[in-house]
Amino acid sequence: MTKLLEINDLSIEFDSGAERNRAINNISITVDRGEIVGVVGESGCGKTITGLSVLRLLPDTASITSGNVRIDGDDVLSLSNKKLRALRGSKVAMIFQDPSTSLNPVFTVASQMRRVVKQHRDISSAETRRLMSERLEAVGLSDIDRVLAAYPHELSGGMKQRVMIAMALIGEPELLIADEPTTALDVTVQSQILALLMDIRDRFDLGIMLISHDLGVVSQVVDRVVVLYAGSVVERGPVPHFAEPEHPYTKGLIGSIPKSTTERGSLEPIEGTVPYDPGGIGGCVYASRCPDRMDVCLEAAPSLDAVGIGTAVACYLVGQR
Amino acid sequence: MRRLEFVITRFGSTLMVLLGVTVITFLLARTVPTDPAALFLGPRARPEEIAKVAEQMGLNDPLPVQYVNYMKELVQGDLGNSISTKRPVLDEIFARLPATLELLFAGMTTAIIVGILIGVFSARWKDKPIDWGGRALAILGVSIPAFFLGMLFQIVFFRWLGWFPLGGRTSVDLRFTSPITDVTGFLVFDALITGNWEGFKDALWHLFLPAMVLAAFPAGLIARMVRATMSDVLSLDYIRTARAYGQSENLIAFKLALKNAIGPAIAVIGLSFAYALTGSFFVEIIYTWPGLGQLTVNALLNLDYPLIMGVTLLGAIAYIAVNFIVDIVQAQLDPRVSLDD
Repeated sequence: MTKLLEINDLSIEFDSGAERNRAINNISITVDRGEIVGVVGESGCGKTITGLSVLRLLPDTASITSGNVRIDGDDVLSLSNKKLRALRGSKVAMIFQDPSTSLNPVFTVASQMRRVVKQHRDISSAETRRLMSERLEAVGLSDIDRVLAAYPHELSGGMKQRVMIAMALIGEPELLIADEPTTALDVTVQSQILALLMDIRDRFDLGIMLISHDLGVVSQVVDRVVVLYAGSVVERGPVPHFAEPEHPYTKGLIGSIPKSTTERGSLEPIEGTVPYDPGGIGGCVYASRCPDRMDVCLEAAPSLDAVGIGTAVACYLVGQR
Repeated sequence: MRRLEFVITRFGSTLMVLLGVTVITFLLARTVPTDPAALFLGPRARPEEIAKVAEQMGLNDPLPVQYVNYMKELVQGDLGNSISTKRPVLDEIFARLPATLELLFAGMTTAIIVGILIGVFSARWKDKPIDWGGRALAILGVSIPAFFLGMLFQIVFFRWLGWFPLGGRTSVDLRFTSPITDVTGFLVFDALITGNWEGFKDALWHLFLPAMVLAAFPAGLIARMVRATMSDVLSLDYIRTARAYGQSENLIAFKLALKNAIGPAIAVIGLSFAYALTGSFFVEIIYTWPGLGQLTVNALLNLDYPLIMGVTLLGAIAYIAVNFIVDIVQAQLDPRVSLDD
């Protein structure tokens, strides 16, 4: 049976004119209807690029060098521009990190939503109005007429993100790509938006790809987690697996989350930074920062091997046990 | 309420600026080493006559007294009489104003439309042949002086191709064949509304070249400004959102991005209006266009200071009015711009 979203062996390279570097290296991710898959990793690991590639929204300097992206079995990468535009915002919708910059500041909410309706549905203006109100109510907004007439700067951050989600729901999508949808919001609003995502998943039978840097936040709402590091999948599995993660990077990621019991001044960051051109590394992408590095790690990259049902880890340590 | 306050404070500051302009033009006119009374009477006047006229014109009073007298007349709408024609300055200006306004209006409308189109096309197809062409045109527009372009057009379009006339507002024989009835003073418009088809064609045909020459600089400036701001806007998040929801590239460029990018361009449009007003003086001389430009040049050559002061004051008023309109338009286009600053 075909999955809703299948990303197979995808590689993406950036061409800055002077040099090419591989930002995404043979990654595979699937998302099915009704499930939320978290894609987790720190800044610069390629999460956003992966999300954008599903709708072919990559910047001009990026190119896909191998692999494919399939929505219900159809290859997105070979779609004509017309079909691609028909797909964007209807079957696949996307919401972004910062709702303040993702809505056009000089158009009202109504006019921005109406344009999406016009693009994908052939309905009268009265029906359009009703559909917009319905969706805005579905995302928990009240005082709908005021929201519709408002310009983005007249709404709070949380309201703007709700408007974005309402806009995403207009085309009755099956897949929602949520790129760090809570990062720019207050903590209290964060959990409301996450709860909303779970709610619409249930009501619309959506598949959601939830991109985040925060494994702690993500694990509250997702069914499965894919951990990305430097453009490679280093570990993946269902949420319970991450109570005892096996890859040293995932362990570091969880260890670096401050807890209320953490003493002042005792944050535990992962030393170092993400390598600039991970495609050029011969060994494991994490070797330069790994506390458990062995000689073999520098020679060849470990393969992503299954360690349980739906669970896989790319680390030599795991194979040894 | 906000809007009313804005208009009132703006009106106050406008008055202050105009007062400053009158002081400066008055002082400049009075400190130029010339004798208005002698100019008024012409080369054959005797010294005692000149002295008498100077006394009548109040030229022997102290400068502050002269200024106060000048302002007293000014607030009553009296800008004095022209020294060379002896007619009221205001009559002279209003007789010539429609011709200049017509040229200015045609030139700026062309500049705004062409400039915005070139800018959007350049940004929409950035670093593609369309962009190269657009940028070359914009550079040419801003760098070729109006007097040179004016003469170039005359050589190409009049002498070589014979497509357009050399100058003037209408053909000489038009006033006998199908004279244009004066309604607004805008010949093209008047001919159109009175159904004078021959007159309309003739007036438009004469207007074309000078309007193009006048449009070149502002069009280039607007094109460059629009391209720059459009390029920035097109890389912003909300444009990516529009793409992610299947909006077409043309809708994105010409509507969703342009409405955001047009603000700075409107400021430039306001500034280039001021340029075009003085730029039209060159163009009017080259194309023998009977407007304010010719009037002003003659006034300068004859040291006709009441007329020079009148034209300068008019220029200042026009400049302030255009900037006022620019502020209003910007606030209309961008809901984040408020009028109280």
